This record gives sequence, structure tokens and C-alpha cells, in this order.
Amino acid sequence: MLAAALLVGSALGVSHSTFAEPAKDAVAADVGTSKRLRLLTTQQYVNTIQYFFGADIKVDAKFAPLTRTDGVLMAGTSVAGVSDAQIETYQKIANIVSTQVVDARHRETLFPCKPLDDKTADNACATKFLTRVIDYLYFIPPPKEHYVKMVNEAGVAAKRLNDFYAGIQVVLESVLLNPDVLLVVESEEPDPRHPGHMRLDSYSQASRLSLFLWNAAPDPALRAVANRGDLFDSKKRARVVDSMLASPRLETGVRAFFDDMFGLEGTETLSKDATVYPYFLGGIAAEAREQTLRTVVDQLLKRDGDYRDLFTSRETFMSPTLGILYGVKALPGWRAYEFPPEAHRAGILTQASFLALNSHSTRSSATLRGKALRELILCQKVPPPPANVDFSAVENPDPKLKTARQRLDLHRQNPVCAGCHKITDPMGLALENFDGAGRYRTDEKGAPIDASGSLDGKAFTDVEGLGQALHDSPILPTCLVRRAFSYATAGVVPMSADPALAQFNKTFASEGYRLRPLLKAITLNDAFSKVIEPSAAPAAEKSASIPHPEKVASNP
Amino acid sequence: MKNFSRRRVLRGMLNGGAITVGLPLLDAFLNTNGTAFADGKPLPVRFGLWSWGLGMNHSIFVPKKTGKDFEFPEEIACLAPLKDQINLLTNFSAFRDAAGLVGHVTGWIISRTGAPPSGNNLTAETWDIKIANQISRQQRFKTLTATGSANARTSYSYEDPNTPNPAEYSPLDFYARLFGPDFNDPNAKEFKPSPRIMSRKSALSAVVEDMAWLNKRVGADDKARLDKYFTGLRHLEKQFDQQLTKPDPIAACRPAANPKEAEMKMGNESQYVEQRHKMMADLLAMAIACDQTRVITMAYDDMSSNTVKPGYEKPHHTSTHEEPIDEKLGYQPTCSWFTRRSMEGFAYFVKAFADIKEGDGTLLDNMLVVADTDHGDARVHSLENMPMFTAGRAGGKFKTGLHVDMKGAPLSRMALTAMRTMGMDIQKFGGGSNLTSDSISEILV
Amino acid sequence: MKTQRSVLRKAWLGSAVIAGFGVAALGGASIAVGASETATAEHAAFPDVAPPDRTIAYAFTERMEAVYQAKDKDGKETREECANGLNESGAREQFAESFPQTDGKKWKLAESHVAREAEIWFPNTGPDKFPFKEVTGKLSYGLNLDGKVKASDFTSPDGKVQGIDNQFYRAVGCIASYREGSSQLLFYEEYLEGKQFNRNIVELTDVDSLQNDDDVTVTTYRGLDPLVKDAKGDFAANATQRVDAVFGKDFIQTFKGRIVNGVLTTAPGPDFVWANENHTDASTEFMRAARFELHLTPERMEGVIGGYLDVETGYRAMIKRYGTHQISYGKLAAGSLYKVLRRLADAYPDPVTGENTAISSALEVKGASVHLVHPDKKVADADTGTRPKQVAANSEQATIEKR
Repeated sequence: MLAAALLVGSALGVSHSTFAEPAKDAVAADVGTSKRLRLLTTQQYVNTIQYFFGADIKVDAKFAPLTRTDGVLMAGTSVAGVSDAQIETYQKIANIVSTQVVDARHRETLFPCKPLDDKTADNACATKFLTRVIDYLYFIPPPKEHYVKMVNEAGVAAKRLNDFYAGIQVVLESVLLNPDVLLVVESEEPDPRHPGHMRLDSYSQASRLSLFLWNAAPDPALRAVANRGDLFDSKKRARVVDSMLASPRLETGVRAFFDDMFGLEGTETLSKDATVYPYFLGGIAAEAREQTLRTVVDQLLKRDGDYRDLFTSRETFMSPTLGILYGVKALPGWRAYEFPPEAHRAGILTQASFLALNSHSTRSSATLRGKALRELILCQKVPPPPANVDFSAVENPDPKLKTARQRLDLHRQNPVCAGCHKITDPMGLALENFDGAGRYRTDEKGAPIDASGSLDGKAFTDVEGLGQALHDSPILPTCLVRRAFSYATAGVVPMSADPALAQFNKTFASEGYRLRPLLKAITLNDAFSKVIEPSAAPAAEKSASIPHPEKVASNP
Repeated sequence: MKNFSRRRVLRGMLNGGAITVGLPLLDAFLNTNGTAFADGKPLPVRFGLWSWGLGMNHSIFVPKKTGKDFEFPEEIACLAPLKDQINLLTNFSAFRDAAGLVGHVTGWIISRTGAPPSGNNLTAETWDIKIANQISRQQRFKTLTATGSANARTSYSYEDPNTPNPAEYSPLDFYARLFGPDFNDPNAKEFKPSPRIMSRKSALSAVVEDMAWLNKRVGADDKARLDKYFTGLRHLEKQFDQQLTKPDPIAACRPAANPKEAEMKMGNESQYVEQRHKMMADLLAMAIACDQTRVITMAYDDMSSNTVKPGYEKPHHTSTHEEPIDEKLGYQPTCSWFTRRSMEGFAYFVKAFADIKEGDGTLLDNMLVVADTDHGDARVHSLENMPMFTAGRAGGKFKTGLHVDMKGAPLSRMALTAMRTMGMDIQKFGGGSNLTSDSISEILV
Repeated sequence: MKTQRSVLRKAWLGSAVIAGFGVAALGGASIAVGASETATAEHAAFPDVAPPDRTIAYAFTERMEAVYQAKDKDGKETREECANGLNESGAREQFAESFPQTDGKKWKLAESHVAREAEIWFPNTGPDKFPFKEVTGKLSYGLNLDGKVKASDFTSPDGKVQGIDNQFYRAVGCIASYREGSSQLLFYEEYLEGKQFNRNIVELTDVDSLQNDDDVTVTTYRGLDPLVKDAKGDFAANATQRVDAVFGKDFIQTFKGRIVNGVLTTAPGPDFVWANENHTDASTEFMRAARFELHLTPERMEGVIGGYLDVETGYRAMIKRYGTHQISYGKLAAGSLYKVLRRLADAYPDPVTGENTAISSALEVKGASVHLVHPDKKVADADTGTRPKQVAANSEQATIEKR
């Protein structure tokens, strides 16, 4: 019996509908996305293999990095090409995985049968095993002849190598290299409910659901659902989504989404100057990433909490290494931790991941932090600096200018710079109580730090004020909605999707900004599964609103 | 593809098929300069790691000058004739962070995995294996590991933390493995293809042939991306074809006769270590020349070396801790004697490759060899001031003849530089404070 | 990153820090201001406020016998303190002399090796047949433990403090093993970091100011967590240590003291017990009537601990830690060392024999600040008995864990 069958049972077994059904067909029929050809991300491939063959199969994969497209890395999977070198990487992993699956330790549990004679071919057993594997790994079931062909290959190889399992290994290696394993080739079909319109076919919808919510290819149970056409029945579809949202695998999916949205992949290459920040210990960047993801999962899934509270909550998790940076007690392992009010750590912006990622290696950067906040958290675009700008005042500052605020004041006095720095700095300067590694400080070179600032017209005096202003900003939840839809459909959000986004925003607000209802609203909406021509030009991000932040605030 | 003639291969290349991996190194395929294949692709670069134990004596090992015009202090004087083949890099650090210091173990584990050990254990495979997975999986041997010590455990190449590649320590046995009955002599008349490769190739072809149902589903825009995928798969098929083809003669592949048992001594005495090391070096050079592997690791002797100097009561390791520093000389004279033997070993190793002609240059020109050790000052188990050498020009990617002061940079920078040079697309390497994303640009062309 | 130890040691030797504290230690009104430059600079850098919870703790990151070595102005050793030279008669040399292999003589193991080992494991105070060279100099680091100035006492290298009691230094100061650069000394420090057993901690409570506070309580503990290095390779401040309240009870001792100009001094207190494990053996040593003199900053501590080393435990710990093989690295002969320690012992006479059992000594120490996590009171108060209790870690964590 395949280990995966057990996993699936527990992952999809629970089904209880706790959320309000969104209004059906409320969105105009031309809201949708184009069909995609996506590459699996590294983690999706690993999850897919391990959910099926078991977590002890070592998958040491590192695929080519993706390009962030309109704020979302996942959108890059729909445009990235596959190089020869990437194919060689796939082959290496396929060889390593297939060799493990048939080895003496794993074959006992991973094969549904035993060959009559393991020194030669056994077509019956090979058929049983390969059918299961192919049905699971390929996005779309292949024609019957393909199964026959692969079983024959296994038979020929087993005879040639005098080893049934060697024959299977050789074929499994090739199966794992099949583009239908590593690429997600979505396909469309006419939508009977809306004549003249197209929708993703059943398997493509299952793939989108699974990659979005679980960050893995659909498992056998979901494939069975797709095979029965249940995803076209709104009631059955809602039940499927409910059970996926109740699965422990949702955490995997949610972590992947927020890792993407907050740009946490940057922690993989983050380093600091050790002489300036000796407390930015080796390995700490990975722990800072983990801290933020644990905070997200705890707040949004375990507590089923309000997304906006992520920006004000003092509750998080602590590890010993992070304890050194934060200067707090930290016992071995990961422990729940609540910062005392006087620590001025409230919200994920005051966590080391955001603070250190958006700093230079030797100093903090109010501008980088403000820019990241605008772009990642609020879905706004900050234009790059003009080419001829004189940075000397910031790079080689007058020693009399001790704090970042004093230095950046120069920028804001210069009309060329002022336009953009007014967008980033008032928010970024509120985080100046944290140095470039994320440690709290009250002064810079002996001069006290002034952490006051404003966000879109709302003034505050400290970092807690910034968190509260973000919490209260009407833009904050709409950005999450936009990112989630883009991530779910692996592409840039088309302008035509605005009505759908508006509806998601409404649902999100009425459900108290809890994540699960939002994920449900997105996945049950026609916009998630409807196919439109890619000619609909992608919407520019809301950069138009940037030069006038006041307007953004008053007119969300 | 039975008749693998030059014309046919070239035609394949002209038609757009790329053959870069595993191509036999027949001079007939080379361009008129002998520096590249006829289509301009460079000769494959092979990789080696060489190690010696117990560091060095700083005052007589590290040149005063850096750059091109550096001198060879007495402990490395034997390498002076090879100056234009090698680089010397000094003043590396191995950062163990919170890991305890296990003398003679921590240093090499950091050097070879980029990360501090967990207890006495590695936390990942050694990076020669990463390179082997990249460039040598298609060869007869993915990697070969040997030592001059009489001990199979003297291996610093690990497939994973629990799986060392046991070292070849008997030249007799190693010869049998390399050039015994299983040797597919490129210059022999008969050829028998590997049944496993035949099966893998056949299964892959079955997948490639069966793609009609996928192609149908893809829109015009994505067709090109899917085609690219198939191009990649066909490239893999070609690699298999190459392995299933009778190897073309390789002029340089001329294995010597089986070494005689009588010549072999297995003791710890310095002269026997030296003799075994020489035989191993010659065998490894020939294994590379015959394209049996593209990655090798060689240990002159154990990091915690038990090599004995005749007439001196303490073996090398014990000497490092017990021998007083000679007040006049300013170093431990017997320890330096041992280090000098190791350096002579390195000189021999480098020459073994430099003496084999390939194209219009030497095998060494198309190799990168990195040499490392376990400590800076072994007496105090120092993980600072650690030296490294490189040898070879890596197919024109490496400069030579330089002494670089690494100013305390982590050893992992060498690993990263080497891995990138060997074609790996990696952003960073190293665990904890050894994490780096910087190559050593000083030695790169 | 330079070799940690040599740099630190040099910093010590370049100043009169240790001896300088002695004045304050005597309880006199005048405080030596000869603090090291580092310490002074750091003092200026932090505000004079009470530490959080009026408590601060430090984990020991360095600990070694305080051995003064005279140097000229170029930093080169003059060896003035060893007028008779360094001891040349270590374990190997004594063995070779005792059992000459000239004229083809074959010694039985029992009469050579085993007999020599017996002299180590069953040492005696009889006369030493090998010459032993004591320190002849007048200068030493350490504290004036008895408040007197005696003929056998030392003066601090800067001449400011008289009456320093450190007969241990007299015994070992001319043995290479105990001197700068000896591999034994270096390994000894390696094990302080590398062996969890050696995690000595000192905690100050009731602290209103790290600069000046006339009444603080000082408690020693053993911790349960490894030392952490920061990105520069120094020991990180601000790490967390859990108190070992189960097997570490012996290490828990309380002292009273005060802080003057950033220097903590304590009154003569109970035993200071420290853990000393190396690659083979874990032992503890202790000094009686111990006193601390430590420079304090919010992140670092450095200074000296003086007291009367219990000779038997100290000697046993040393020979258990190091086999003859390692001892001979530094021209040390254990049997000879025992004789001299007993001979120079200057306190705590045995009530029966009247012979002194302890010898005045001093340790150089450094530390990095830690967040100390105390166990539940129940665990701390529990009788450790003979059976290990496994509840310690869990229950103390439970108090921290909020959900």
C-alpha cells in the first residue's frame, strides 16, 4: 500500500462547511485569467514527491530562481523557461528519487505488490505500481497506451538487468522527467453555464486549487474528485475547498504564500557586516524568516485571527539565536513569546526579517523599509531614483548629521528626490529605532532617534503608531486580496478582474479579515477558474495613486 | 549510432544538437589550436581535491609578498618550479560558530562541507560530491578517492554525512578497479555497452516519443517553452547515446602495467607514504586522462597524520603538540620536516597531470585542483591562517602564479569559486558564519 | 578573528587590572582606578541605570590560573620571575633519567611505567629527588586574601598593591604548562567552551547600578546551555542560559559584595566551585573563602577570583584530566607538582596533622552576559538524592511558555 494513500486520507478526510457561501455568478462573465503553463517551484516539487513517496525520500532540489512579477514570485512560474541545465537538474533529482524508491528499505512499503521473481520482469506488479505513480504524478491522465508502453519498458529493462526493481527504477526516472510532472499545462474547455465562454478543465482546476492551498500537485483524492467532475458542481466544490482548508497541508500553502508576498526568500542570501552587527549570527536570517512565518500561521490559521493584527500584535515565537539579537530570554527550540510593551516590538514590521532584509549590510535604511512597506504590504509602486541623483550626502554624510532622519532631510529638501522620499521615508523613519540587523536602539551616534512619522496623512509618534496606522489603513487588506489572487492564478492580475477583487474585498471585510474565508471566496469564484484571452492588458499596479498619498487614504 | 565518426558528430552539432558532456577527447575533434572542440566548445574541465594534514609553520610557509612576485619560503620551496601552474592562498578562516572544536576534525569538515560539524559529524555531503553530481554523473566513476596513508578511512569525500567514499589505499587494488577487466579501454577494439544505460535511454525515449497529448493542450505562446523542455530531454538522450557508443581512442590514455606487489609497503614510515602517494597520483592522472571520471579526491595522508620520520620517536600528529618551538628557528623543526614532505607530495601530484599532454596543452590546463588542510597552526588547533593551493587553469578560467592574502575570509569562498568554475549555478555556499556569496575574483580570469 | 586567548591574555598582561582591584578588596576607602582602558571605555558607553529586573548574569568565557610573566617594553619575555630558569624536568625527562636505557637494560613495566604512574596517583610529600624551580620574583597577579603583608606575599606588577596571596603561582609559574602559549593551557580554554559541563555562571541580584551599588548579592551557578559565538567569532552577549538546579547544586554559592566605579568586589565568602572537564574527564575544583573582583559592563565581565585552592581536589582533578602523555607537553611532572603544592600550602590546616590543605591562588576570568532562566522553586528545592530527576528542563520551560 502506498504510504501516500494514508496521508491523503488524513489530509482530505475532514469536511465541514463553516463558511458562508459566496454569492454565485455575481461576477461578470468576462472576469478570469488566461490559462497557464507553469513550472513547479522547488518546494512544490519536493512536497509533491514527499506527500506521495514519504517524507524520508531525500529530494535535494534547487531549481532556477524565479522572477518576481508585479509583486508575486509565483507569477514568475508562468513565464520562466527551462534550460538544458535545468533539465539536467531534473534528471539528477529523478535519478536520486527513483533510486531511493526502489531501494531495499523503501520497496517494502512503497510497492503495492511483490514480483513473483525479483530477478526478472513482472508485468502485473509493474502495472500496479506504475499506474499509481503515473496517475499521481502526471497532471493530466495520459492515454492508455502510455501506461502499456512504460510497463513494457520496465519489463525489457528488468530482463536486461536481471532485476525487477532496476527495471522499475529506470522507468520511474523517466516518468519523473516527464514534462507533465514538472510543468503544469493548464487546458480549457467550453463552459456550459456560460455559452461562448471558456473555463479550465477539471484537472487544471484541481491543480490550481492544490498548488494554491497546499503548495503541491493534487493528490490522488483530489484527482479522483476532478475525475468525477465534482469541481463543476458548486456545492461539491465548496465541500472540497472546505476540506482542503481544514487540512494540515493548508499551513504549507499559507507559509509559501506569505513567504512569497513578504519577499522572505531574500533571507537565503542575506548577510551583514560582522564587525558592525556581530549579533547577526550565522543562520539567523533563516530563523528570522521562520519567526515571521510562524507568526503568520499562528495568527491567521491557528487563531483564525484578523490579518490586520499581524501589524500590531506583540505575540510571536522566539529561538535562542534570535533571543541574542532581540536581547531576550529564549529557551532551546521555538517557543511562543510575547514582547513586553516597552520592547516596542509590535507587528511583523518590527521583526528581524523585515528590518534586516530591508537594510544595508552596515546600516539601516528608512528608504528601503518604506519602499518595501509600500510595495510588498500595500501593493504600491515606488519609482526608482532618477539616474543623475547625487547620493553623496547620504553615502558620505556630514558627520554632524547623526541620524538617518537628519540625512534624509537633505533628500526631502531636494525637489528631485522629495517626490519619492516623501512616499517612503515618513514610514521608514518610524522604524529607525531598529538598526540594520533589527536590534532595538534609542540613539544613533549619540543623537536620540525620533520615530515619528505619517502614513497617508495619518501622523504617529512611534513604531506602534505606524503599526496601528497600517492596521487601520483601508489599503492594507486590499493588497493581501490582490496578492492572493495573483498568487492563486500564477499570473499578473488583469484589469478586468477588478470586479472580482472588489467582491473578495467585501467578503474579507465582512468575515473580519480572516484568511480562510478569503481563500474560500477566491477559490469558489468563477474568476479563479474562468479562462479569458490573455489580450486583456494587465493592470498597472496602483502606482498612479502614489504621488498623492492623501488621495489614496481618502479614496481607497 | 554505431559509427561514431567525426563527420557524423560534427553534422549533429551543425544541426543544432549540443554535445558537451562526455564527449571523448580525441584530438581529431579538437580545433586546430587544440584548445577546444571543433565547434568552439571548450574542453571539459576536470576537478580534483588534494589534502595534507596538520597545516603549516606560518613564518616559513607564507610568502611576505602577495600578487605575482611572491617568493617561496623554505617550507614550500619545492613548489617554486611549479609557480606558473599554481596559486597559493593564505589566511583563510574556518568559522565553527557554536560547534565545539574537535582537533583535526572541525577544520576539514568546514573546508569540505562549508559548515561547522554537528558533534564529530558532517552536516552535508562534501562539495566535491556536489561538483561530481554536476559534471561526472555520466562517467564510469562519478568520483574516485585515494590516499597515501595505509587506511581506507582516510577519506574526506562524503556522499552524505553518514556515507564516506572509502579511500583507495592499496595501489594494487586501485589499479585493478580502474584498469582491470571492467575497463572499457578507449583504445581497444572490442566494446560492450552498459545495459543499464541502454535501459535508461530506452525509457527516456519512450517518454519523449509519447508527448502528443501534451503538445495538443498547449497554446501557441507556451509552445516554445514546452519545446525547450523537449530540447533538454533530447540533450539527455544524446548523453546516453554517447555513453553507449564505443569510446573513441584517447591518445593520452595509456595505463601503465600492473604495479608489482613486491614494490608495495603498507607501513606508516614517511618514505612508504610518499611512495604510495606517487603511485596513487599516477593512477588518478591516468583515470582522468582516460575519462573514467571527472572528479577525484586525494589525501596525502591522514589529517591527524600518524606518519613517522625514521629516527624520530613521535609521529607527525604527536610532534605538532609536543615538539618545542625551536627558539632560533622560530618553528617546530620536525613538524616542518613533515610538512615539507607533504608539499613535495603536492608537487608530484601537480606534475602527474602537467606531464600528460592534452590538445596543445596539458591535462592540468583543463583541470582545477584545490589543496586544503585541517588547521593553520596545528599545534594549537588553530582554524585561522589556513592555507590553500590551487593548481591548473581550469580550461582558461583560472589565473595562476599568484599569492593571495584572503584576510580571514572563510574557506567556503574557495569552495564556492570552484563550484561556480565547474559550472554550478549557485548563489551562495556555507553554513553559519561561513556563508558566502563571493567568488575569489583575484584568481579568476 | 585572531586567536581568542592570546589576545585576551595580552590585554591582561598589559594592565594592572587585577592587582589594582586589590585595594578595594581590602575594604579600604581608596579604590584603584587602574582599570584597563577597555573597561573604562565601555563604562563611559552605557547609561548608569539598573539592569532589567535589577539582575544581571554572565557566563564564564575564559578562566585560567593567573600567572604573571615579566616582559620588556617590546613585549618579549624576560623571565625575571624564574631566576633559576624554567623547569626542565617533566614527566618524560624524569622517566628517562629514572630508567636509563643505556647498556641495553630492559625495564619491566611494573618497575618503570607502573611505578611512575603510582607516584602520580599515590603522591607523597617526601623530598623530591628531581630539582624543582619555583617562582623567585616578587610580582604577581591576585588578591590580598588575608589583609596582611607578609614576606612570602607578592606585589602587583604596577606596584600599587602589596600583600598579594598567590602561592599557587609560586609553585607553577616556572612550569611551561602554565605559561603563555603552552598547548595545555590552550586546550584547557578550548574545553571551557567546548564542554557543556564547564558552564560556570555568576549572577548579580539587587543591582541598582552597574557603576556604583553598595550592596549586591552574587550567586554562582552552572548553566545548561552552550556558549554561542557571534558573527565576529566573539562570545555573544545576551544568550540564554538555564540554571542546572539538579546536578549543579554544588555550584550554587552566595556572596555579598558591592560595586564601585564599575568594579564588583565581594567579601570573603564560601567556596567558589568550578567545573573542569576536558576530553576525557569531568571534575570539579574549589577554592575556599573565595572573593570576586570583576569589571562589569552590560555585556561583558572580566576580572579575577581569588581564594584558597583545595590542594587534594585540585591535584586530583588535574591528573584525571590529563594523562602523562598530555602532562608532558609542558614539562610538568605530576608527582613533583604535588610535593610543591603541599609544601607551599598556606591555609586551612588539617585538624589532625596540622598540615595546610589549601593554597592561595587566583583565576583570571572573563564572561559574556546571559539571560539566566531559573527553574521552578519546586525543582530547585527538591533533594537531588541519588536518582537523576528529569523534570528540570520541562518544568522550568513551562513557566516561560505561555501557551
